[in-house]
Amino acid sequence: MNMLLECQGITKAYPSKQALNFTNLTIDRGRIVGLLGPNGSGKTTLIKMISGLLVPSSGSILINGFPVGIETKKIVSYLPERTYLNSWMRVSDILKFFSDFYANFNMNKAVDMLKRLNINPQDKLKTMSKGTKEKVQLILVMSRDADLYLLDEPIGGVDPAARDYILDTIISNYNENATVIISTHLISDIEKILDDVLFIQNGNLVMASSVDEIREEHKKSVDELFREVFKC
Amino acid sequence: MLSKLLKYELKATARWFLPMYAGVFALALINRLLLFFQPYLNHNMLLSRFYELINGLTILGYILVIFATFALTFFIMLHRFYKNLLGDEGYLMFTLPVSSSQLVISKLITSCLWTIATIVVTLSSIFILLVNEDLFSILNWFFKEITRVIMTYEGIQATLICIELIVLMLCSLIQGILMMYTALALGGTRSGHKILYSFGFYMLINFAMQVITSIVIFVGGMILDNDFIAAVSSNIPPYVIIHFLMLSSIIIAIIFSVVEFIVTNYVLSKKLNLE
Amino acid sequence: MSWIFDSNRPIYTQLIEQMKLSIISQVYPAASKLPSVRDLAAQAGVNPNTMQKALSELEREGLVYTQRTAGRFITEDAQKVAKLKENLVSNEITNFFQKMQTMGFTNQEVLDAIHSTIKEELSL
Repeated sequence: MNMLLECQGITKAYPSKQALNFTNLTIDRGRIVGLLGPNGSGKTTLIKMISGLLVPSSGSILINGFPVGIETKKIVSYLPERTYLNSWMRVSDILKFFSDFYANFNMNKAVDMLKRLNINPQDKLKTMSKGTKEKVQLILVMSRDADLYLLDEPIGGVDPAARDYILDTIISNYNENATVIISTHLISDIEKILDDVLFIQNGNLVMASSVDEIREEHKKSVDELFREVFKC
Repeated sequence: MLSKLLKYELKATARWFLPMYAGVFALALINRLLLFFQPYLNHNMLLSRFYELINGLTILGYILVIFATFALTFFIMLHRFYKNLLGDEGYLMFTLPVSSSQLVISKLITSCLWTIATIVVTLSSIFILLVNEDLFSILNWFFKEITRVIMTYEGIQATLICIELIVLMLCSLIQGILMMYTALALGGTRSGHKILYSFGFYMLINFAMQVITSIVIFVGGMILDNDFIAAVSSNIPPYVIIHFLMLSSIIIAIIFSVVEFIVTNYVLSKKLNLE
Repeated sequence: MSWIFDSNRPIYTQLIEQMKLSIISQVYPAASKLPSVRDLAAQAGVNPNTMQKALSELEREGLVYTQRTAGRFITEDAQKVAKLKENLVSNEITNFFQKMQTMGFTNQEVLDAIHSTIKEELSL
């Protein structure tokens, strides 16, 4: 059973606007998928619905056959755009926290990655720079042996060296049972590691294709095609 | 999972309460010691004045610390809920493999525990303040009297009423906390001015509760009209009426608590709107 | 860190070319063992599925083979590697001459220019 994520007719309507209006979407295991679209197009809305932070106005989302809930939260690892690490905890405390709540958290992997980035586990989260906090969050998310990784703008405000590290981590973390969905508007950096791309505009899924198909058919990179499709 | 949530909730809040409690005990101790030294200073005018000045400050300090601790208990109760569930940390908490009811219950239990702890600490500090040789003989006599009185019919009734009172206070505490949680959760669904809306919702809920309670009393009054009460009260000892009032208050508090819990849970699981 | 790619061609075709170059330039000598797909992908900075696709194509062409438990190896067939080298050289030369033609040079002019450049510039 290779299908991991199945969205059927999901919509999200707010009083002020229709944030999302999707036809059906299925994503298989073992894929690295890019969720591409301009700001406000509905990428984050979709990701929040898959991670359980938002309830669709209609339609259903199934992950590994389960509707979004406690069972799916066990196998979904979500990296939000925001930093949620602002508490009293030290790095070692938040590691223990993840280890306590997630059975598939790999403590050794996390400790290893922290070491390689020269982050001291005894450091207090409150005193870290934003960039370091983002790295810690990424480490926490990637140290989980999850079925679905949701990364919302993982390379957004990050320097080029850190960007490389993040993309490296995503590649080396790859296993054919897991799927990674990366939402971003920085396409050129990330294109090489993507299998498939989903173009979202105004809450609608306007294109779903593989990177190879796009390059073969359109003779341009995804980045270039994106600029065409979403010309202002 | 709930026990893990409780563990982290207590860890996150203990760092505020424990130092405050230490401060309460410290000031109680200081005041007690000063009291101890007082008789020795009476002969010296200057020392006496000096003593009065210091003692004034320490008594003031003690009272302030107690007020501060109660204020802190109230503030932390609200702040934890708001910051941990409705702020950025919500991204972490609501993606954990736990239900929103478990999240609410863990916060509720922790808030109750700290409230009770604050009360216990305050009473204990007063005990420290009063400690002297006489105190123990007084307590001794007190407990002997209690054990003697308890065995009587009146004693049993009084004990029951005390128990009901404690249960009522606990249920009211729970109800009060849940009412604030409901207001915060409802306020959280708005995109702006969440705290303002929460305050508004709180007023609304409070008002609604008072209206409902008034209606219940009014209806109750209509059903149990004067003739009925006259007929009944001559046969019923006064204690039963007190028990009835106690139990009805407890039940009303429980009903309100359950409704508030259901609403809070529903809002957090279906209407979550983290920015 | 990662290899450079053209943006208007599929990455896996470019990976195939890159791998072929590595084979004939002895970066991956004949009969040597290749790193795992994941490591190769990480080195190249690409999606492991894409690298897998490239490697499968190389296997189809017989330049790479998989031994079930031991991993992936470059072919031991030296002739195959030599043929590959030949093909790549002749492709490169054909492209070069075509480019020179569009610039307006005759083949003889190009050959003369090559000789003189080798003498002066490249000191070979």
